[in-house]
Order: sequence, then structure tokens, then C-alpha cells
Amino acid sequence: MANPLAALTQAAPAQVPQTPPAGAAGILARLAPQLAAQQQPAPAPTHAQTVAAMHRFGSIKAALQPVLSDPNLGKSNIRPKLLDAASDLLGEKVLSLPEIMNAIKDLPDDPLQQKKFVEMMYGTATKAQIAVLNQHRNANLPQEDGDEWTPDSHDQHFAGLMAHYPGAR
Amino acid sequence: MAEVDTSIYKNAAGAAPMNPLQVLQLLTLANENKLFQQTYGARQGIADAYRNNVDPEGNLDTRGLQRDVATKGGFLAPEAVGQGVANSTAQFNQQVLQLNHLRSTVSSLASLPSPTMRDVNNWAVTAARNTNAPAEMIQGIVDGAAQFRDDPKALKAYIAKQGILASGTGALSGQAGPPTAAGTPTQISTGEAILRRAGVGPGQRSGSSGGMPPTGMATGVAPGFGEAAGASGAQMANERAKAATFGSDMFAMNQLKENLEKLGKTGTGPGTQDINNLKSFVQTNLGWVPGAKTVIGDPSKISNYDEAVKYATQLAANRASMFGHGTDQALATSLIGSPNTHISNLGGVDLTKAIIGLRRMEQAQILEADRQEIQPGQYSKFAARFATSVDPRGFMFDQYDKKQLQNIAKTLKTPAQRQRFNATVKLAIDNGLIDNPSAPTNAGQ
Repeated sequence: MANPLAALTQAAPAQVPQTPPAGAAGILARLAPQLAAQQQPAPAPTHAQTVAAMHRFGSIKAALQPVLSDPNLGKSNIRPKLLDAASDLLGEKVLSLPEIMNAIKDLPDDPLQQKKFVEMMYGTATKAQIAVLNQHRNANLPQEDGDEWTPDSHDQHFAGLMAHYPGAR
Repeated sequence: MAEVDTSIYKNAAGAAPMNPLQVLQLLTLANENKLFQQTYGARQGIADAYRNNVDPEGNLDTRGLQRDVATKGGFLAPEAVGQGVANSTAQFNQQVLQLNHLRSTVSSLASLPSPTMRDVNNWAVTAARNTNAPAEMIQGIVDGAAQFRDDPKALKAYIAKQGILASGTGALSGQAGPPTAAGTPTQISTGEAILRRAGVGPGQRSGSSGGMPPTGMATGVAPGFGEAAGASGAQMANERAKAATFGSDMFAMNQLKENLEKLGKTGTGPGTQDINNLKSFVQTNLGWVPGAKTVIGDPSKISNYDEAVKYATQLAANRASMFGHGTDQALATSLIGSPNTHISNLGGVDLTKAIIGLRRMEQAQILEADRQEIQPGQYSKFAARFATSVDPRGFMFDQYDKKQLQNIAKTLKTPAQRQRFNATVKLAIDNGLIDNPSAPTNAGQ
């Protein structure tokens, strides 16, 4: 399963071209050729789907925050701490186990590269939030009653959001 | 030297010479062409300067633009630089308006009892859809809020502070704040008012049931507060006035007690001075009990010691009952050593001791109110609490003989009772009502 975080970022029409760090290149670069080949309509996430994206990427950023503020980041192996963050996300049902395994399988062993990897993940989550906000704005969809995100309806809305990014499937 | 092929302009040689007007027209055309080329080049340079100094998000690098326009803008550079400054100023102003709008709208979430990140995310999506504010700007506010996602009160404070930031220096302007405990109106800054209305202002805490402090801010007092505060204030003023005569009251009562003790049980009766002291006490302290004069009678008509004791007894009993249920009995029982004794059963010496204890308790109450900075409007409530938080016997600690102290010790059965008695003795010592028994003395020096 591809990383949905990367998919959103790549699919954003107004996104700044960015070369991801070598260690994490696989996450973002893997989807690029197939997305480029597809001439698909611009994603048009609904209000609830956009809130679902904000929630999901916000949770990922919150989980990464302690890793980023760890003074050992860039100096020693932070894999255990990153796994702690991942297990938090798993516990909150923000990410599934395959998604987590997929996201961290490219984590390098070199502490400096690990730092870049974590910073890239955090930055990508932020870019994904900005991208989906822009896509929602550009879609200019009529606001529908009952289009409300709740923790219980998160999975449903996020699945609906991902349907806008077929390349990520 | 090779021959020049003149075939292509062979007709030129035979052409008629140009008249001055034609020459002038030709020169004009040449100048117009040159001007066009210069204008085109300058405009192209300006366009390049803009293209090179606008980032993908549409933000203008003003300094870079000015530099490039100055070097590439040709003779249009002065106007273009001026226009660039105007454009960047307009952009700055627009960003300020956008940011203030975002801060203002997100701060409205502080009116919710307990806003969460769900509310912030909902706001962000709505703001993205309905405004042209950059998504990065919206995202920045969301990221700021996300720092407090696990602390509801801090999250609410962050949201409320966005409203303060949107207010600019207007947040420093004054407005009505919550009244003091005495009901005095106050002035606070608009910024503080925003926080207080959100329930996250200085000193605002959760209620007894926990959770978020309530939102809203009362800027006036509750109905009836003025009347209640008036009665309470009058009580405080009355007791404060009486506190001023504490020294003379105590002197007279101590003298009476000493004289009565000297007389002992076989004495022939106290002298005129002692009767006068007791009489004076009754007269001075009739104000303790509203309406006492009607009940007890006119103290000026006291003619003998027994009559004075009767007056003083009634007065002390009434005053003790005002301090709360059990005060009268506690004082009397501790002096006599038998249960269920009341002030009305006391003899002259013990009655005087009880009166001294009551007077000290009264004095301690007003001193403690001052120490705790109790406002007049709150004094009645404080006085009611004070009476139940002290042990009246503690105010007579130095008046007890050894046997009486043993009697008291027997009645202090629980740690809470002992703690209250000790705390009362300490309160009396701290307020100078009783000499500290463990303080060094000059004896033996």
C-alpha cells in the first residue's frame, strides 16, 4: 500500500517541486511517475474529507513532535522513539499497521539521515495539509448539511478523500 | 579589394534626393522605433524582475524586486520601483487583514465551553473555503493550536489569545472588569477581558466538579449584593470600632479578675471599683447584642455586685451564642470541669475569664479579617466561618489553672480537635492576644 501522505502531497496541483532526501526518496518518488502519467481531474475533497485529512496529518505531526524535539535526534539512533510514535498512531487508529510499516521501512540507520527522514515526514504532513486545504478551496463545492467529520466517521471520510487520489491506491 | 555588388540598390543612385521634411519624418520614425525598443526592453526587464521575485505561493520578494527592477527596468525603473513598493505595501496590508480575520474568527471558538482540535480543524477548512487567505497562514494557526491538543485549557487560552493578537494595541484599552469581593467596579484591559470571558483569565480555575472554568465575565454584582454588603460592612465597622477599645476593656476585666481572685471564696465581696468595672463592661458591650438593653435592662441602674454579675452573665451568654452553637458551653465547661455547664452557672472569677476569652475571640476575628484582607461586603460570611474554625477555649489558654488545662486535655479526643485547639492558641499568640508561654522571659536576669 502506498503512503497516502505522500500521495496527497504529490497530487497537489500547486505544490512546490521538491526533491526528497535520498533516504526517504522511495516514499514520495514511487508515486510520481504514475501520477504524472495520469491526466486526472483536480481532487475536490468535501468539507468532512478535508477535516479528516487535517486530523490525520495533524495527528502524525503531533506524534512526530517528541521525536523532533529529542536532543538526540541526528546524534544517535532514534528508531525506538519513532516506533513509540508509530505505536501511538496505531493506538489512536490514525494509521494502520501496514501503513506504518510502509512509512518507516525506509528509515535509514545513519542518525543524520534519520533526522532528515523525520523532518521530511513532518514537512510532508504539513504540505499535505496545505495541499488539501487548497484543493478544497479550489473545488468550491457547495456546502452540504450533514457533511461533518466526527471521530467515528473518520475512516469513512478518509476513504472518501483517498478516492480523489487514485494513484495512491 | 572585391567589388561591391550594387545591384540591389541600383535604383537608389538614381532616386531623387529627400527633401528636409522627408528626412525629418525618417528621423522621427527612427526615434519612435528606438523608443519602442527601449520601452519594450524595459517592460520585459520589469516582467523578468517580477517573475524572478515571486515565489510559488505568490509572495513578493520586495528587496529582490527592487534590485532587479533597478538594473533591468531601463528608463522605466524609477516608476517601476515606486510601483513595486506600492504593490508590496498593498500585499503586506492585505496579509495583515487576512491574518487578523483568521485570528479573529478562530478566537470565536473560545466561546465554546471546551474547544478541541476538531473545532480548530473545522474552522481551518471553513476558512480555506470562504476566504482567499493563504492556506499556509491558516495552517500556521492550526499548528500553533496543535501544540496544546492534549491540554484543553491551554488550547482554549491559545485560541482566545488569537483574539488578543487580532485586536492589536486595542487589546490594551480598558474596559469594565469583574467587581472586587467588596463589589467595587474594576477596569481591566480588553486583552484580559477576552481571556476572562473565555474562562482562561488570570486566576480562573475549574469549578469543584473539575473541567473547564465557565465562560463569560460578570462586570456587576448580583442582585441584593449591595444590601448584603451594606449589612456586612456595618457589622465590620462596628467590630472594628470596638477593637479600638480592646486594651482598656482587657485592663478592666483583668483587674476585676485579679481582685476577685484575691478575695477568694471567703471574701466579703468585691469593692466599688470592681462593681464599676463590671458595670462598665456591660455598658460598653451592650452593642454586642441588638436589643439587649430591652432584655437585660438599663445597666446604669446596677447597684450591687450580684446585679452586675447577672447583667454580665446574660450579656456574655448572648455574645457566646452569636459566635455559634456550643461556644457558651465550651467556655463554661472548660472552666468548671463538669459537662453541660453554661456561662450562667459560672461564679465571678470564671465568668470574668469567660468574658476575657470571648473578648479576645472577637478581637481575633477582626484582626484575622484584616490580615486576610477581607472586604466589608464579605465580613459576615467570614465571621460565620471564623466562629466554626476556632476553638473558643484556645483564647483562654493563659487563664486556665493546671486542673482546668487537664480537663481540656481530656476533651480533646481526636487529632482534629487537638489541631483546632492548638491552631486557636497560635492564632491568639500571633495576634498578640496571649503572651507566648514558650517565649524567653526576663526572669532570672
